[in-house]
Amino acid sequence: MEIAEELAKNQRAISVTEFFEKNRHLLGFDNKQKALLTCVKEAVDNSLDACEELGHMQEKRKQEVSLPEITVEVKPMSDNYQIVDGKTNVAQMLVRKNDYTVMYRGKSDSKQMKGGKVSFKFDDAAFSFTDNNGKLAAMLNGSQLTLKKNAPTFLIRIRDNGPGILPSKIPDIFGRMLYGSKFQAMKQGRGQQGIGIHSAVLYSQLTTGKSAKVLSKIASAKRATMMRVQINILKNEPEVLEKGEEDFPYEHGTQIELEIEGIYVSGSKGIDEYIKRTSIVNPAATIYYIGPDEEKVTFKRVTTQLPKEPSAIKPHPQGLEIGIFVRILKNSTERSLVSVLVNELSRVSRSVAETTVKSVGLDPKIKPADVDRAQANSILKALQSMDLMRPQTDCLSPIGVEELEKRMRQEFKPEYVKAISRKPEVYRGMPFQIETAVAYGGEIKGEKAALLRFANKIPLLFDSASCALTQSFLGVDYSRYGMKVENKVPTGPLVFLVHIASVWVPYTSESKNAVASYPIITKEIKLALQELVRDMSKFLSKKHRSHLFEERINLFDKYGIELAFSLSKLIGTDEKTVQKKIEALLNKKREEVEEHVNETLSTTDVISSKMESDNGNSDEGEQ
Amino acid sequence: MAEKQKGKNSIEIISGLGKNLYAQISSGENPYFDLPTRGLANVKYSEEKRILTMGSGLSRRYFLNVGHVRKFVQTVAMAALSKELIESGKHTSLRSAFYQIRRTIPGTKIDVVDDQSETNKAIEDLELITDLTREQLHINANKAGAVAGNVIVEDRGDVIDWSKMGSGGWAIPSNVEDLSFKKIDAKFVIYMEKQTIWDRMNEDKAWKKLNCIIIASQGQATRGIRRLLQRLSREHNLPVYILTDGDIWGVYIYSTIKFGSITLASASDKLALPEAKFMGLTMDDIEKYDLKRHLIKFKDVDVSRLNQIKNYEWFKKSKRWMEELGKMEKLGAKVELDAFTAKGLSFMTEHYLPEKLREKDFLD
Repeated sequence: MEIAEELAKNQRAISVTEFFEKNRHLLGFDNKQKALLTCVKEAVDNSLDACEELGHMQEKRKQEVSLPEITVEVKPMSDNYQIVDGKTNVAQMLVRKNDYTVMYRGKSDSKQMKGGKVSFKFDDAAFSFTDNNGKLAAMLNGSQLTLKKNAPTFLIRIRDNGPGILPSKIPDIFGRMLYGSKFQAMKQGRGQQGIGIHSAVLYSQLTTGKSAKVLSKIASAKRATMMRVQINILKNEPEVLEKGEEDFPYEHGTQIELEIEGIYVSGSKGIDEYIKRTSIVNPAATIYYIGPDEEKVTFKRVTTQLPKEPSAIKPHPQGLEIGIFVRILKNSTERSLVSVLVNELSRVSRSVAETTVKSVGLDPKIKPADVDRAQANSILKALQSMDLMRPQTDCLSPIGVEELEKRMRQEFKPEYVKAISRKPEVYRGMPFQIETAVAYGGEIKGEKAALLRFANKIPLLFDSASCALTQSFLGVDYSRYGMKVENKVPTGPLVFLVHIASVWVPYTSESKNAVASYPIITKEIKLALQELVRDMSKFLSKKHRSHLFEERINLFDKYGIELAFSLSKLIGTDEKTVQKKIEALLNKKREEVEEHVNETLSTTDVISSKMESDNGNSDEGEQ
Repeated sequence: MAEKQKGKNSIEIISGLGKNLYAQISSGENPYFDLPTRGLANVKYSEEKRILTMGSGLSRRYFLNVGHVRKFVQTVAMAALSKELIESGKHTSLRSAFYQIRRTIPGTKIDVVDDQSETNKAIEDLELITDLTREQLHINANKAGAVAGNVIVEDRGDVIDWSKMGSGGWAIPSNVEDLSFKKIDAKFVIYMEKQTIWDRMNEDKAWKKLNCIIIASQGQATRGIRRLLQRLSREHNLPVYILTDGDIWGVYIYSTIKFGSITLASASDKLALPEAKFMGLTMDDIEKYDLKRHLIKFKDVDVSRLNQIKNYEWFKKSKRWMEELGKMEKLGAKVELDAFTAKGLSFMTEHYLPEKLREKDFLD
């Protein structure tokens, strides 16, 4: 074999696995707890996107719309051992009851233990394992090894009733890194987050040696296609290990099964919470979740109306990056630079395009392919300095006020719910829209407000402190609305929700857990929250008022007891007689007393009077 | 006999209040009682009598009123306690009255009173409503202060010689109505706001040397002391001289003894002593006795109190007092009586007082 060829092979092999290893933290696999969540997340995002796309297609074709239905299962599978010789890792072994799997130098083999013994043979290595009443021991080529217990493995299974995938496309979608990337599209979608389901497949392969099992049925097929897919890491090519047919519970849809190493946690950074939050912002989806405890939890849809389909828009010069602009120029089929600017960008008129091209000293008729990078850069700079119209903002797909309120009500069973949707705005040429909601009381526990963050309908669970959503949330002075505040966070049984929908969410980093603080974004969030709490404080003040009212009405009953006691002594009459007279008086005067208490409340109720002054000078002064 | 009769009247007045309330309740009326409004707004200075009197302002206190209900009930509770005391011929102190009324209303989390200031107020209210003094209600202020002098009195059968009371002197009871004077050998009375100065003068036997009675309180003069001063003045023609720190608070102690107090303006007839004269410590004394080293700078509270008192009608009528207050304001500092001890422990007895008396250097 040609030496260069040999080298090239290695280079490629290095590039895929090394790419993964080097970028673990960016891809969401930096620890085993997060890895488990990331794999679930990738699959769920894909499923939701696919289901919605299907629904929108059905709407267009005036067909009956099938609403998203997604099942997520997380099942603990095997014990996981590191086989160690001294200090070097030799191999890895997974044990599930009697099933033993050994991974050695990128190869894996599975066998059943018989009579407390099992052995494996790889090229030069012969492993044998014994189980002596639950005590495991390992030998390699006759010498004793140590077994170190690792994080266990989990089976994750995600099933949807989406359109299904053509059998010919299954291998590429699940078995080729960076396939079918959506990142060029200027369109709101969960996909912008995703580094792809294939990285989950690769992670499974690297940690348990198991391939991905995919089931997919398209409407016209009788049964679902089953494929076991893995990535050939040397060639970055999909490999189909097994192919067949299986039954599928839906007319169409996809299911993926992965076995991966992971650590399951409950709580605010675990899968349970992720599923719960996902359900809140996907009101048209029904999600079933079966966690390690094998209990099935259902998050039922609250609307049969799919969210509006987001439309793709052309890039607006304000937010255009030079690299993408160069690519647009290179790939364009337009004849001249001017027509590229007019037809492939947003809000650039012919006269603006011509003025701009002339201003940097280029011929308006120059072919787009002939523009070099430096020229492209000066054109872009010139365009960005022009006073262009803002991009159209009807391309976004918000969750919807009514839907948010319904979901919050269903999830938290609160006493009060309110959601607010701001009008779309633009940061750096990118349309975005803020939605907020708050739930108060009822079954909500806790003394401090909780904040749920979302970007393009995806829950953000990590990096809370560096996120613009958190910072804006903490930037509102809640005490102005009569709320008690501790460390900037309002106290009480409260859940706040902030969602940013955008064709391009500005994440602070590749890990996509936090939104960057653009002033206009921060401002929009604050305005939305202010409106929200203004409304809520009216409710709280009313509630407080009726509480005070009851308390004060009762005041007379209570002091009446003492009055009867003292007065009876003072006039030498039986206490009970006096008490009856006082009770009669209270009954007779009930209406009058209520009116009086009501009047005193209107002057002393702190929150309500505070509210009035707040309404007088609204917060829009901050603009 | 007279005592008994008075007691009966008090009981009638007090239970009359209760009967009135009960009648209102029975007829389905929101029960109420009227009492003179307290505070500067309802106080008048009578130029003729030279004392403060209560104005005609009345406030009506209702049971069925969020802002009144607590005080209303406290006042009735106090009336019931007072009635029991009078009936049984016993007396109780302000402190003890508080403890007797302090209880939780059954089945609630409300205590009838939380703090002694509430019972103190309730007693004052009861006095205003019934026009009876707290002594007539059988509630005594704590005994306070000290007196010494060549005087023999009889108090409920006990004979007391004020010249033989040792270093502590005789403590003045809150009720001095029943005190009878057996012998008085004194030409005048000096009242001082400070116990420390009284101790000094008692040790110096100043009352013997100057042939006078010395009386001290601790801060504001109690009602017992004020009534005693009034009786000594009215019944035995003894001039009363007042000695306080050289500050605005001392001026108000003088004002209370002389004209009556704002909160108890209704009792001025029985307590105020318009004949009382201010002996010191005056602003001129600071200059004359070279006390400048002992000045204490005014704080904000001193300044604001000075401004209040400057605007009291009864001070405004006195040119000399306005001059004195002007000097005090200009100085912007105060000086305590104790400053004299720096000139020698007995400087006050041996120099200051004799000179004052000789020169008749009093403010009126």
